[in-house]
Amino acid sequence: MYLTLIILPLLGSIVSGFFGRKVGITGSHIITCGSVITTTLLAIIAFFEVGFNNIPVTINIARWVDVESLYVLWNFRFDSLTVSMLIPVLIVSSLVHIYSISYMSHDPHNQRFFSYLSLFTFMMIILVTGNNYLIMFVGWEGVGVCSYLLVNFWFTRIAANQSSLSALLTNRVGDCLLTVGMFTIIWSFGNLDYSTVFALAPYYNETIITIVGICLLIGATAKSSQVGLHIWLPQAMEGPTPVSALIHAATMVTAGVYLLMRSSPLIEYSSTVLVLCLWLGAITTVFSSLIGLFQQDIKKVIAYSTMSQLGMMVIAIGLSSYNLALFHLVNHAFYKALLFLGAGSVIHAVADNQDFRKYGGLREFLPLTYSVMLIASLSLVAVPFMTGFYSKDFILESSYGQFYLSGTIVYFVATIGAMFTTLYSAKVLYLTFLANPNGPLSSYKHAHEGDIFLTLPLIILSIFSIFFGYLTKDIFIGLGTGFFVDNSLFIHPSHEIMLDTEFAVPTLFKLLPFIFTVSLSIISVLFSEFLPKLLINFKFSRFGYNIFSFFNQRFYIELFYNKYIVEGVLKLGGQTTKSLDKGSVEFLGPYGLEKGLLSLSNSLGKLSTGVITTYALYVLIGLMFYISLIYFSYNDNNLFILVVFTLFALLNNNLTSTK
Amino acid sequence: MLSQRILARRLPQVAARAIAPRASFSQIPALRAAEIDDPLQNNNYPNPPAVKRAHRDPHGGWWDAQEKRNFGEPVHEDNEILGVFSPEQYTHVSPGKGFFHLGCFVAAFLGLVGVVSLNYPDKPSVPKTYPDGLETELGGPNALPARKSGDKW
Repeated sequence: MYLTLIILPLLGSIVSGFFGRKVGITGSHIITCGSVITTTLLAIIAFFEVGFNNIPVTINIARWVDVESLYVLWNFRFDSLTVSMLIPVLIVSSLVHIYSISYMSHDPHNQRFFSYLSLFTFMMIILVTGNNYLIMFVGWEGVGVCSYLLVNFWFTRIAANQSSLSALLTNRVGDCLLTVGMFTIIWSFGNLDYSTVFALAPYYNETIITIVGICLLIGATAKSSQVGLHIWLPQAMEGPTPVSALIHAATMVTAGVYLLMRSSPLIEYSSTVLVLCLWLGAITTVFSSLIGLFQQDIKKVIAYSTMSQLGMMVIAIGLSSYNLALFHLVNHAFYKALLFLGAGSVIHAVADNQDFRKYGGLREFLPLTYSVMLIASLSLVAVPFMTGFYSKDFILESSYGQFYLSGTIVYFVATIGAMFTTLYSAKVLYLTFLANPNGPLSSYKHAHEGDIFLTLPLIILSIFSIFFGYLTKDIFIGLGTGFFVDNSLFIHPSHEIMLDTEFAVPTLFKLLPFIFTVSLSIISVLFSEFLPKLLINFKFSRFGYNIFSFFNQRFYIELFYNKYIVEGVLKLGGQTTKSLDKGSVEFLGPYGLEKGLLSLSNSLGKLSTGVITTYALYVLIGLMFYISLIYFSYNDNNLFILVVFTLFALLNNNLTSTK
Repeated sequence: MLSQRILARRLPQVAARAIAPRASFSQIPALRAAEIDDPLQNNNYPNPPAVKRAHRDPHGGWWDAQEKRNFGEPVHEDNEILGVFSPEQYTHVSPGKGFFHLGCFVAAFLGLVGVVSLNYPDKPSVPKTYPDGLETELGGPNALPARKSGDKW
């Protein structure tokens, strides 16, 4: 069953990709969707078997690297962490496959699209099931390549080309450091196998653990779009919307968080790495939610929202609450996929326009989409008893419940982030569905809900977005839960903060995010409805304009990157090509040789002056050189003395003659 | 006088050369001429000014609207850097102003950090310590088992 679970999406991808003409569009749909849905059902069975019954499964397939002491196997492991990851990955993947049948129905390259989607699913399964860092890295790179292919699916668009290149190249920075981390693991631990590395970690020098942890963290920063290596994620919204829902909301971007969770037995022994995670996550969450509030593209707002929630997960990792990070990851996958698919439904209905300033009044035309986006937004802003509430609110409380300086600061920073999350969610809903219609008439003439393939995934995901958190809270983060007894996640007993969070955090600070959520939602709608002039006047003031520009232009980070790093590197590359590659070959080769020899012969020719005394001088110089050769060969100090005496004598002679 | 001596020495040579010039051929003038004709050795390629195509008018009626380029128009030798595929050049603000704004944000952030650090709460509980390591907690020899050895469940 477990091998079938891994291999089925690959088979679907091969059939759809290589035999697309044979099987046709419908055949491709049936095969890829069928294989992914079957995989999902198997994953649910695995969740019960491995997760609830605590029966981890390890499958050794073949040897891969067997060099001296380095021994790496093709082996896969299903433990509680893996099966918990498989649930959102495969459920969202299945639903996105179904959704794409309708969304991509007018595209001429359906087989290619579904092949890529299934290949991505396969790579994601490899990533989460691999039993050592190398297998994990195969999946890690595989999903990166699939992301490139899918973002660039409409490859004739230059924006898509640029975005996919940006995604690939930014991820290379993280991959480079991740590889360095893996080399450090090989160098210090002698193996890449999870169990070996984690068993040895407590006995190792903290500095080594810190180096490895920082490398893994930078790898995760690129993949999970944390501040510094985040620029690719909003740009990747150039791809088709189902791709954004699958890759850039639910699955691939969580790979970095997964890596850190998987490495919990390692990074638990380095407090430096944990504090870095805490701060990185906090800065990311407030940074991205601030930017999200000032964007005008519906998909970009949701992309920044994803980044913000990923920041929350990294905060949970910094707090050593890995189960909480995992719980938020799973919950977030459902409601963010729903939000993206809902946005896709809107975009589909209004002739592919993504600028929500040209929406408005769509509630009448798209009642189902409005309902599901409302559900997703309520879940996102952590309204009580929705799915997002159980994890997001708990992360905020936990950061306070750590009762350290960093934790308390992060609580306030993340709460501010959550405030802005509320604001942009209200903005998206208001401008898209509730405000006066602002788009062209033609958009509204053809606005309609999609067919069953488009709406069914929305309904299923909205059920998950409402109930999943309530149903599974005690499994993932309940006090004394036995779900993780297979040691897939390791929390050092000194870092355990669950009890403090539950019983020591004052009620005011537990309720503060909720109070902000409700009050800001009401205030934002009231301002937009009754005092719009006030907002507009502020925006047109100099101060308001500067604030708007700063956040709308994403803190000018891209400006600085492009001006000072990318341009510099490109110019250096150009100069290297011109001066070194072409220049050096030319100057040392034909051009330089010809010119040099001619110049030399010309100089030699000039020696021939026709004056006897000059020739006599040449002869004298030659003779002196010939005589002095003997002295040079013996390295005799007498020569030096001789020269000094000669100079002294000459000077003395001159001086006497002048007198 | 030195000048007279030099003149006296050089004059016969000049006269001798004028009467019977030595047969000589040098490639230097030819080479120099070639350099003047084609200084960059690129067959006199007409390098257009280094202006990014992103800054060209998108509605300029270009033959290739995507690349913003006319048919047969020579491209710059650094076309990769200047073409439409190169990274976007942001011109919304000057970098100095951008740094100032970013600095203001960082200062505000640090201000918040400062305020919180003056008022953060103390931990109400005393954390448990593990001076002998985690052997017992992680199921070592002295660990408290979840069930007794004789239990069947």
